[in-house]
Amino acid sequence: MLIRNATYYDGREIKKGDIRNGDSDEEFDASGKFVFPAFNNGHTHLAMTLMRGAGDGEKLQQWLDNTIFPMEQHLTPELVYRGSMLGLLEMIKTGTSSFIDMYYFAEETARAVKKAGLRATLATPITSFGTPYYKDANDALKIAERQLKSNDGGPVQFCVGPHSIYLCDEETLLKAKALADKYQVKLTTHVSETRKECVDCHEKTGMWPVEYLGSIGLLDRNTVLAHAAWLTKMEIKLLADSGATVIHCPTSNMKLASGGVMPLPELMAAGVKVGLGTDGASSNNSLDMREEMKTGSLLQKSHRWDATVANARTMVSMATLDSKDMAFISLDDVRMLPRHDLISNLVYSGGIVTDLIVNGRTIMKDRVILTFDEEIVKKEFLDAASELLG
Amino acid sequence: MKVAALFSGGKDSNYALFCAQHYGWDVAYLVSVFSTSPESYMYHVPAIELTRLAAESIGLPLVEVVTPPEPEAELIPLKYRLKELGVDCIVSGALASEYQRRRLDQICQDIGIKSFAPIWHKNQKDYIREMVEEGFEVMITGCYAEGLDEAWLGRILDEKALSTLDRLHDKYGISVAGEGGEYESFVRYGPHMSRRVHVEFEKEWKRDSGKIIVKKAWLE
Repeated sequence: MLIRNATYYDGREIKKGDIRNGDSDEEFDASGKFVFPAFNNGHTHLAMTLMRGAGDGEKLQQWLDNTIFPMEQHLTPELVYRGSMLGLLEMIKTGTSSFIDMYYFAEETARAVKKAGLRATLATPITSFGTPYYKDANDALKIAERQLKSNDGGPVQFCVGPHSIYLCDEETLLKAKALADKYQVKLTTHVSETRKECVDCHEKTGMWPVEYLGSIGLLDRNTVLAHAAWLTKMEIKLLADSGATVIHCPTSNMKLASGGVMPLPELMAAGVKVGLGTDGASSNNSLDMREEMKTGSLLQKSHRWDATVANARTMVSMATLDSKDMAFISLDDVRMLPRHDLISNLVYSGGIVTDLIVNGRTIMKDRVILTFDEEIVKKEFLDAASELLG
Repeated sequence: MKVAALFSGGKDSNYALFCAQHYGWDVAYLVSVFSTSPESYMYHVPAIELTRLAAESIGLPLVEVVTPPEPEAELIPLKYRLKELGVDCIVSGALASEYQRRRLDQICQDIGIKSFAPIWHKNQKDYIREMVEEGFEVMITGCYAEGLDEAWLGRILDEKALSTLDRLHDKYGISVAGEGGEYESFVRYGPHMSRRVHVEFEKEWKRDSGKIIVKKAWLE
């Protein structure tokens, strides 16, 4: 697609002119619009839109035990599909074109993403114990392998998602890694989200979580680690040496009061690849990457008493890591005025995303989603959310 | 970020240090202040001699600063020593004491570095319980409040001790985290330490308060 008359950000500076996205001959007039790389949400649980707002304000373990786990007992493939569709609706409206997801019934999320026309890397959460979706870790690994076999190189791909070091024993982690290696896909997991996770790992293994993952061979260029909120400087070096990617989830970490703050300047100085993620809508409570950029920036500045860290360009580079797509905001949007610094406006004041182009295809034009009926998705979602609450 | 952690060996400075290490910050020094005043408002006095062993177990160099007894002069040696160390910030275990925090913030301001207090204003009941659950072995080294009798000296905080502190809080209003000076503590082991500090002590009890007198201490 040829995008004409664009005012666009190429990752380094603002330029004006025509740009291409994808191979189609279609043209898109971007007059009066600011074009930027569409967001890549590095960590989420898409269908958890169904649990948005449920159990708000509880302590983490009580929230999981009293609210989330009981609701997840009642999930069905259709509920996950509908929850995913609403999540995709929110992503499109807020300029996200791709994401890494970990949730049950991942095939249903894949079906939804294909309908919506976005990109995704999806994983079934693998744990060492049975869940309503599988009877044990081997069963979960079989489901994951079945999904991996369906990978066709298209925009929706499966990867391997051992949930975490606290829900997976070492054997399960190693089998998950072997699977990721066999199919040459990413392995994504939660790590160092809470102090409890860190001290439990240390007590059990004598190592801190990232150190432990490294010791059993789980760190390499295909590893994507979500949260990494409590890291030691030794672990930062391990991450840098391994080439692994870490995903900062500032809103979720703050909302669940993890207490830790990803050492972003140290990670970047060490050369670690860092992305940004919202986590699920159950703990954020949105999937809006614009909000996540602002929150992440403010958290870093406040935590370190340093206005120079996590600037707007840094946040955009994290939020658009590996992006291949384009999102648009009107240059006349009141929150994009004045135009002293469009990147600063994008991060700190925002603006409404008007259009989204994914792989040369227009997914949203002037706020109208072209790939599905927004009202039907909302109605079906509300029915699903009611059904889940029982 | 190069950090000097103010370190008394007590629970608050240990936990602040632990947080800073897991913020990914470069904690380069532990700084212990030995006040010549037995009644210092700023610093932790009982059992401070144990900090050398604790520092060895933690694996960080210990910088020792001796301060004079006069309240207004006691900060001066600390300020100059921090400046010499060339750190970007200090991390302290200030929890609720405005007096302690304000004065630390001021000396940092004077020498152009930052003053962080990771456990500042945290819920004291949750904080001390989490610390114990996370494997910190907190020993009571001094008791200075009604309800805390001689039996508490040398006691390691566990679930039972915490429940009793909760009851004492309800009855006498004492801080479960000892922030009002109700008790002093020493962390003999924690997840940030490689070896446990073994302490042999005697109790010194006078009327309604007392402290432990360390007879012998070593790393296990």
